[in-house]
Amino acid sequence: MQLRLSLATATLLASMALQAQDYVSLQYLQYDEGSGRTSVSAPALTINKDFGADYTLNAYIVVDAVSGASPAYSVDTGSGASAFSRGIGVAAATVQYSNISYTDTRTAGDLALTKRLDNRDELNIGIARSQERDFYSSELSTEYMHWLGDNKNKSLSFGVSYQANEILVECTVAGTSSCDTGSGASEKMTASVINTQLTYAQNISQNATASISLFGIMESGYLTNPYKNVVRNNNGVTADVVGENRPDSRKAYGVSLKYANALRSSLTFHTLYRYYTDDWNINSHTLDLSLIYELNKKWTLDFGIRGYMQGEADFYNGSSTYFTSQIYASSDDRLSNFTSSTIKTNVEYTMSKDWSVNFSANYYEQSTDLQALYFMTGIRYNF
Amino acid sequence: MKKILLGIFLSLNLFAYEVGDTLKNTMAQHLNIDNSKLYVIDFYASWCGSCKKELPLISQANIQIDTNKVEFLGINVDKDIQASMEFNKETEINFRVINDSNSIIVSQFNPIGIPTLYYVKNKKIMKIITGALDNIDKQILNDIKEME
Amino acid sequence: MKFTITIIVLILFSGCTKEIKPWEKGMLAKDSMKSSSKNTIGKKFEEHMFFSKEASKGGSGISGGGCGCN
Repeated sequence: MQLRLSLATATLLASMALQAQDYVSLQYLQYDEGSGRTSVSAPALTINKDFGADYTLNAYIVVDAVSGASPAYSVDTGSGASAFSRGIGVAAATVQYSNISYTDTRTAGDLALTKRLDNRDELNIGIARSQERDFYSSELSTEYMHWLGDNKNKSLSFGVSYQANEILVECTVAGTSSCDTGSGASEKMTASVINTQLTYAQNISQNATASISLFGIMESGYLTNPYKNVVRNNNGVTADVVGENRPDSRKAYGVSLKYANALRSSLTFHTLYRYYTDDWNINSHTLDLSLIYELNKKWTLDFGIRGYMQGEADFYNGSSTYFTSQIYASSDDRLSNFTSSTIKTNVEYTMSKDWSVNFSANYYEQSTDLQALYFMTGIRYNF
Repeated sequence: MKKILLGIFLSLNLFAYEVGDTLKNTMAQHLNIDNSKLYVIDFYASWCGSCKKELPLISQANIQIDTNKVEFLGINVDKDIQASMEFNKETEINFRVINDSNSIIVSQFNPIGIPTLYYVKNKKIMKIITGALDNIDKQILNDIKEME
Repeated sequence: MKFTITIIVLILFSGCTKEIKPWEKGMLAKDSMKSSSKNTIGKKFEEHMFFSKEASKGGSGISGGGCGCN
């Protein structure tokens, strides 16, 4: 749930980009945050298969094993270990902000079919499913790409997806839900996400392409994180440690610009800029730059950097003495004001026409005092 | 020198060969084609995924034709001559290929996509197929039957 | 902000770009032009990570375009 993830809607659409080759690829990810926080091990498999000249099928499956801890407010029950406990009118001195441990397994997959029409326009249809102990997500998506002009240098695409999520919220958690807190049962909450995207893309020279996308995302339902608490009515003597509460709708929109240039036949430069804004008052800027260098026929090196900055949600506050009777309240630092940077490297070795292996080492850092190292290694077979 | 001049001349040209047009004599000479046969001319490139799928089928069709009456001709439009040569070898093309790395031929034909297939008889364009087809071999054999 | 985006868009998409012919797309057809990493599953992992660690999403699923080279 912490690394939760409904398959990001947009990711699915990205996976449909045409690869003119049949392949199967297996990757293994190891992700580790410092100081006992989250670790993820995730093997993933993808298969891409063309059926004639008109159809391409892409299937992807990943299994994440997540363990570790994530910081949140809780009540120190004196048992030693940091547990996920809440309480009304507890002694203020027992309120702590510390790592709460958890484990989870996520299984997620998607299937996408691309159909090329007689005029070479493309229709994509995708389904996706993601499952955790306490979270289920199903998604349907479709996108149509239309070429503007005979020379196929300009295109317009429109895509839309619908995601239905089910979140199991434990009833033992006081103040979270209306069900019987003593029974140990869970209450099923729901949320939905509609994502739309309009993209104009153009070849701007024999070695450069650019695109602009406008996107809008509408979320509604239970958008609160059931594992995050806030502290209310802290008067220095007593305090209430209760579940956070987020609005039950979120409307976001933004623009992203992409530019790719083959500087030489062996060196390609990519840049992406994204601006995002939503009605929780979160704004963000993302800049991603990368280089792909084909050293020779066998070795390819990727290098990338990504910078990100976001402003905080208007109902966010990290302090234990801030919230009183506000309806919406969250101390989840993912909704705070922060910056992050990522350094990415990947090396691919092509053993033969059919086989290649890769290794990737990456570093992610957030100004919220989060650092992570993640490695990926994999093998690919073209058939 | 002659080739370069021809190239410059042709690249300035906004002309495209359509069905019913007759090839200029300079072009026919350049392609080394005459009036004795039906020519099936395929424009392709190593970087074109669907060409890679189509070419083995075209080679297969080439085995089933009367070579006294029909000739297949490939025009590899790769600018990278080395990639062009490697690709020709890899795909085991069994017909004559011209490496058009200076785009002299392709810019004259001016197809709207790669791959594009032209049928030429008596220097006249009989039919054009743009884009890859799953059953291109059968399509070609049928078309030949109709045109002979 | 808006000004910067407008300028970038105008430069990228101005009508003064020369029409690229179908046979001139050898570079555009390269895998390295289609995706910013050879490791496409890795990109998915990353999207997932950013999605779970940051509060914004969207805009990354640009499956439109392509080079028109098939």
